[in-house]
Amino acid sequence: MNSIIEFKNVSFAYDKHNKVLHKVNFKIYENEFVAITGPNGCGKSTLLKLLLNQLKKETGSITIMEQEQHYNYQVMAYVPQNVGLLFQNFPANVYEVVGMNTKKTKQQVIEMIKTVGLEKQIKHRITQLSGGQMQRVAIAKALINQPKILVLDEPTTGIDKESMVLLYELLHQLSKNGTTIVMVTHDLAGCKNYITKALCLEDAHICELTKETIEDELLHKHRHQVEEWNY
Amino acid sequence: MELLAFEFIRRAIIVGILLAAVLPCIGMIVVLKRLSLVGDALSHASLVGVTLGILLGMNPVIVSIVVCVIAALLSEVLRKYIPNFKENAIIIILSLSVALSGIFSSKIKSSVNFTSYLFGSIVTVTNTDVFIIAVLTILVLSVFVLLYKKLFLITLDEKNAILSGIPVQKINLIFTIVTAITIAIASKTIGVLIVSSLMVIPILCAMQISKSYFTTIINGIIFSLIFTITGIILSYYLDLRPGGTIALIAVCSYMLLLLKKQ
Repeated sequence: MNSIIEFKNVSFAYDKHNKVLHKVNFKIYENEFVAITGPNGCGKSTLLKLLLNQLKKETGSITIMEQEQHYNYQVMAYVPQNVGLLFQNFPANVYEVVGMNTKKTKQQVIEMIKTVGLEKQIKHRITQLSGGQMQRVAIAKALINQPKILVLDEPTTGIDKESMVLLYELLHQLSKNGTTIVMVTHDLAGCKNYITKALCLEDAHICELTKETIEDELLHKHRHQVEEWNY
Repeated sequence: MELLAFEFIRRAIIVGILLAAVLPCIGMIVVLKRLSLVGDALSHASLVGVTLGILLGMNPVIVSIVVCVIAALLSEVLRKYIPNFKENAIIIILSLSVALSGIFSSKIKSSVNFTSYLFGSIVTVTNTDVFIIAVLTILVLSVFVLLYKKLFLITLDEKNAILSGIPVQKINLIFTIVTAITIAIASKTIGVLIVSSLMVIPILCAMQISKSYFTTIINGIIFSLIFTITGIILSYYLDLRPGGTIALIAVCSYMLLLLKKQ
């Protein structure tokens, strides 16, 4: 099976003494739903910026759909962190936000809004929506041009448990329907039932967790936390 | 309507309608980019151009267009150097403009021209002014319609707009230049101290009642038209300065809308 994203020996540092990524290797395959996780400051966002070509790697290679990486918005779409802050006070409705990003017909835009379950809110101002609904609008906006890969940065920040589950279910469904999902998250416990694998970033290295090993990692993390609290 | 019998009033109303259509289009973008003060800074920069033009014996409007464009580009450059405090770039331009216009105006012997630029002289516009403003209206509205979708996406999320392949820097530059030209020309007719209020307040009013981006712009233009025409008529009957009357009506209307919403 061919990989859709491949990092091969990728290293990156902001300065000489602060190596963020050291010879990182991983592959993501078509239709996978991958979570990139790790403690604060471990380099998750840096990894995402390298994937989006916003930062230049020091060494190694990044290939997307077997081509040396050049961010192509028709292949990859990005949903940023804190969508609520971006949408704050913006006087547009759901249809405008999703439809403004495309040459698709009105019907196709409406279909996309239905896909993310917001057909009842289509004429609502985005400022009237909940955090979870705003996240869905951002996903519909990103998906309207049918990219192969959807990259999300901490999509569950600031949304309630119920909306979180609905969001994971939507992403899971999208990956089943042919979109590869790459999601940076802190919430490995919450998404473990929906993802196909997790990439855990720590001390500039990455380790791959399968569905089977995720539970061990969570248990280890839990024990570590308890020890820290006791200390 | 006896006042329509006067040609200067008819010209004032035409110019008022044209500017009322143009300024909210610019205002929509500056308000959403949280750069509402840009209108104030650039209108003060246009004052530098006016004083410099009078001192050098050159056409003040042309000099103020040049100075405004330079000030707008300078604020863009400053904004890149202080990305976390973007609004401070505007304050720097505003301070520089006030300082320079103060120094230049102290060298002007007659202050009549200078005062008319401060508070505007919409009832003294000439046929040439009407022509220039009509051309400006066509230019700004064309740019706004052509860049409508791209400006929407840049204003909503600039970083994602770059990732989506939109030439953000180029569009920002075009918009900055169009804004500078509009403010320089509008300052002459409605006044340096009033131009930014007509750019921003109609949009703030529209945002209180509109349900979409498109209707916010349309309602902003309608509010702007109402403020301008009412202002010109009231200023004629009450013998007030038109620019100040227009701005006062705009501010009062916004306050009323806020109260109604509360």
